[in-house]
Amino acid sequence: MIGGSGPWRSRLETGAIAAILLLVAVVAVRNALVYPAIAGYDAQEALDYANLVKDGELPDGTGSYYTPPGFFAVGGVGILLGEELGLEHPERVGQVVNALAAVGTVLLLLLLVRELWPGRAVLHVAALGFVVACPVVFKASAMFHPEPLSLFFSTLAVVLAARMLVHRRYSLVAALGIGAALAAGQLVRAWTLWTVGVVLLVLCVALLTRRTERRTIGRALAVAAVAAIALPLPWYAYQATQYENPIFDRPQVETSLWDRRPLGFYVTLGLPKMLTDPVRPSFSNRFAPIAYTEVWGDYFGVWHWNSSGGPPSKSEHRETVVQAVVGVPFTLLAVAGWLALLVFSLRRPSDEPARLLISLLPAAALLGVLYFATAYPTTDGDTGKGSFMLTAVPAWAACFGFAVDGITRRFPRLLLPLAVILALCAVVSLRFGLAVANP
Amino acid sequence: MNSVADWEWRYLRLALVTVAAIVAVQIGGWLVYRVVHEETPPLAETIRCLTREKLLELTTATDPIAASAGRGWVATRVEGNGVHAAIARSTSEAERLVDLYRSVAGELVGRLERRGKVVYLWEGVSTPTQRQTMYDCHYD
Repeated sequence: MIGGSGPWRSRLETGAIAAILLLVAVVAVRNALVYPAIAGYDAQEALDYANLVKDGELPDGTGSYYTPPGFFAVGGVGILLGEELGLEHPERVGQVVNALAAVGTVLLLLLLVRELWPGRAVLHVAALGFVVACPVVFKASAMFHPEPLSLFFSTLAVVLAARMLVHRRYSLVAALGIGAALAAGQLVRAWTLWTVGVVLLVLCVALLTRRTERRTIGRALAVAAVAAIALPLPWYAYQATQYENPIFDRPQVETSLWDRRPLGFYVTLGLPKMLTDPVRPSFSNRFAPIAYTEVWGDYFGVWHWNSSGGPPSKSEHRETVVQAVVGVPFTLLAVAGWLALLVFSLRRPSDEPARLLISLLPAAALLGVLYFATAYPTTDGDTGKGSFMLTAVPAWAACFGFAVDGITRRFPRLLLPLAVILALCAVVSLRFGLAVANP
Repeated sequence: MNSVADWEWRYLRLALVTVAAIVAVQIGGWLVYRVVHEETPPLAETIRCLTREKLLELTTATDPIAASAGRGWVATRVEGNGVHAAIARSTSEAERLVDLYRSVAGELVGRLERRGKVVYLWEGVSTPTQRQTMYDCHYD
């Protein structure tokens, strides 16, 4: 096992990581070539937007006009290229770009965990394995949708910030890189705003805890913040002047924030239906079970079953139930790793402030989506779906790796059985991560 | 074990216990709820979904076949198209309702549909969005 020592251990780690990367690349690209673009989240709106951008226009208050144009510009160019190549479905080019963004994100995740926990092979492999097991990554990266590209830029910013803090090299180029990645993320999807907050906050923590390096950290923080704010500013200004709200397409309802959702929305796990009937309309207007079942399964019916054709068939329903069960060990270990890391890094921030990037990102994403789902309540729970937290998946993966590594370092005999159980679950989940041509 | 691993394990152990406690509370809460709370009938679930989630008004249009359904019926209008949803006790009873409708009014193409134990009868041919609204409130 990877818990051994010496060159054998190193070779095993390298082999496992290479196999996972290859698997992610093959599955992601294959899915992008199989999954029909029109079946994805807000598919028609995304395609309309890209076609407009391709013609040099922006949507005029219709569809996804509130979403920044970054991905749609790439997707529009992709459609042009696809048309030039005579593809039957030119939007496939944009889907393949998303698949490559997912592969790039997994590479960045590898860099990130190696920077933060060097030499901890179990942690590295477990973190990458989490991504393979988590269907939301494959789902989103098969679609014609901005989320995977924002995931890539968000992760890039986190990796650059982690490298800066771990190596204590606060160069202007590195700071500009962080700011540019944060800005690029915002120009693709507004949900990367919480990555902006986390990265800048962690740089502030480093500023306070590394007293001898204050001047250089302060300069890097200023450069990164200015770039992250100034570059997307014209987009926000355009949205604010044109439509009043620079982020979303609807005004908030009149009632106070706390009265917009019942208490059950925040605290209910939706048992037992979260496991026995994990598809809409079960536990509608319940945050945690919708987010969970959409991340690990297909709550809204866009992947392996089609909600517009009625309830799922028996076999489709069985698949979602299996997924809901398979996701349990990954979720519990990831949450435990996150809690441990959050408390550890908050109590000892000076040990390695870069690890705060991992522990704060899931918290910020959770709070951000909770606020969004509460501020803009919808009847079907759509604004609370787990894919909005896609940018936090690398951090959840690292937390999962941290938990698995911590348990198996304490109890080495658990390594083999735990690895076998998790690998089996990952294989089952990977099967669900394969797109079907007619969901 | 070195000191870093010791420190990490202390926090991880605490986190694992916390997660186990949360799961135990949730399962315990569900078990207690199941004992003290009677299951909401599908008709009540459907009515609650249509009125509170979809913000639709229920209508009083009666339909003797729907009214004979073992677990009740509900009528409403979705995007202007009236619909009766009859909730049967079993799939075979739902099939019997479908046969009854067909014996009275023919094939009813695009207007009559059975999903599990629920039978939908639309006034006019239903659109995908109209059907989706009712599917979202499908309880049987």
